[in-house]
Amino acid sequence: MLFSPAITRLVEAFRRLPGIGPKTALRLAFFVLSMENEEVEEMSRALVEARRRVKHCSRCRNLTEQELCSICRDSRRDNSLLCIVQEPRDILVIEKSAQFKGQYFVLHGALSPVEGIGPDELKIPVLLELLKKGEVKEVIIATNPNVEGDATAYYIAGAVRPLGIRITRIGFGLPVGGDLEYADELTISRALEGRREI
Amino acid sequence: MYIKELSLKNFRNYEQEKIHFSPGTCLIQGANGQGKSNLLEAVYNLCFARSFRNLKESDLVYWNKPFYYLQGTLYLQNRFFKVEVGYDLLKKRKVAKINGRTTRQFRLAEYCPVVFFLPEDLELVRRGPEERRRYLDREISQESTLYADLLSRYNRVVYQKNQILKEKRHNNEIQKLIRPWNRQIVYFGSRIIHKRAQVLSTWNKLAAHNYSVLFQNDQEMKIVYNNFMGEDVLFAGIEEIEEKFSNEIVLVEKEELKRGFSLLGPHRDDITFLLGGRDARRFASHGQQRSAVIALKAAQIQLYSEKKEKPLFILDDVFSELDEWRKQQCFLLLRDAEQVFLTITKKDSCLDSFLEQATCSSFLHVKEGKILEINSNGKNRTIC
Repeated sequence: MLFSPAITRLVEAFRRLPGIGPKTALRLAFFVLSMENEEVEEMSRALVEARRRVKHCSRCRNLTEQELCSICRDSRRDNSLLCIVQEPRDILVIEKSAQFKGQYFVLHGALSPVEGIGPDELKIPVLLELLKKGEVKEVIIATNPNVEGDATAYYIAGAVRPLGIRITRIGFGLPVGGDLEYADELTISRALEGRREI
Repeated sequence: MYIKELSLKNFRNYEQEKIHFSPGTCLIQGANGQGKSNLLEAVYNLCFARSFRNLKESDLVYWNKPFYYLQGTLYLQNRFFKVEVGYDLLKKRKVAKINGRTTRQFRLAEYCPVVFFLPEDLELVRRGPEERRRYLDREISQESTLYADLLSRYNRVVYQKNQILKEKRHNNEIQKLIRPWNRQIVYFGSRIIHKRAQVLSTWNKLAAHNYSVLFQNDQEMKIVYNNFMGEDVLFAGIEEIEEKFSNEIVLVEKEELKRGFSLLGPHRDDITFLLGGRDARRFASHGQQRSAVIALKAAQIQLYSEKKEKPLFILDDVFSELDEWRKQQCFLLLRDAEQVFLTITKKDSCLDSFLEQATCSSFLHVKEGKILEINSNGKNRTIC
């Protein structure tokens, strides 16, 4: 063993984070060791407290420290529109555009049988219960445009259809400001399939 | 298209080499394990920024060196392109540059007309359906990134669906779970089937002609595409295939559940080579089967010449496998390519007679990762 057990343990801890390889983990570990005691303690408290306090909103499963998240508590929002996203960070992206005034539902993933992720893991039964209350008039599915995201969208559409609620999928296509020449062919062929009259 | 210049640094068993080429035939001779195929690998890597034998990037780096770097000049669509491809072992990073500019998607690959002929291709007719499918996919993917993309998504969907079929048998909810994947199998699958049908019908026309001309055989050669729609697929548009496919995939659901894997779709397709109306796999001689493959290769070369430009033709040690007569016929193909890279272990009389008539542009001798150019530009001393 090159380093003491405590250092090795710290390196291993960093390595569990996404996007961190062995070299970055080592660099972060050495940096922590060069920090002031108080700073490190504050950091570890931040980790523990965030993990302990933050939970899923009981309505939309967004991250929050309260029973309901700030979006669900906001009375100015349109409760008849529900946008389904894969990850909490997708909410940030949509909110930034300030175009959407409805509510959200976060799946925390997409259907992936090989990873053992089925409808129950995504809490789709919870979603259906929410929709059965009758407030939502339109469901907008904004899962990722890859095979797992598409399968999830089709599954949800199949499950929601009997409830008689309108179901839409956000459009795929060319990035605005993107050059047609640089878009890949599948994107272009999908954009063509999803074309609209103007 | 041809390659004008190639330099290799730390690539496979080459430490440092620089070679100049011209259009025509480049003969690469050397004993086994000296680096003949590695040179072809470098040529391929320059055009497609990946390995043709599907080697890992790290396996392309010379033993104990931190990186490899290839640089070359291609003549394509009437102009020269300077291409650089490299891989850094420590950073695990691959870089490809065209005319000095880094490209993330290596778009040059779609434009490069390259046909290659490997010893295993000779056995295409007698091998299993999986190998024939892989051959078809390899050839189509090379010129269509859309196809390659559809195929990788399709395979992902089949993989996910098979997991459901494997795990949860005899469950009432199972149809609801399977249908989101089936819908995508139909979407991607129909497009794959459509493209395969188109490509096979263009191959067919030329290959049949080549077979009769090259081998003076009055038996008609035909490549049949076996898919769930049969021959109808040749006249069907994508929508029609999609419709048939989505109707039929529902019918096999029960059987799929019983057997535990996906039963319908392009992952089960095959091609049959017919000679005189009979399945060449079962009824033709080994030699005839190989003739059919040579006729197919000729067709692929001609197609590039028709649609794009005269291609690069790479043959890796194919000749040692062929009898004299088929060698002769194979030599005829070389004339249709702009540039040919041909590896051999040793010269023989048959090759000599070919080289006498050919515009033999260069002859390289490869030994332990070193290249000795013996002659260039025409017929002179050493071999021609």
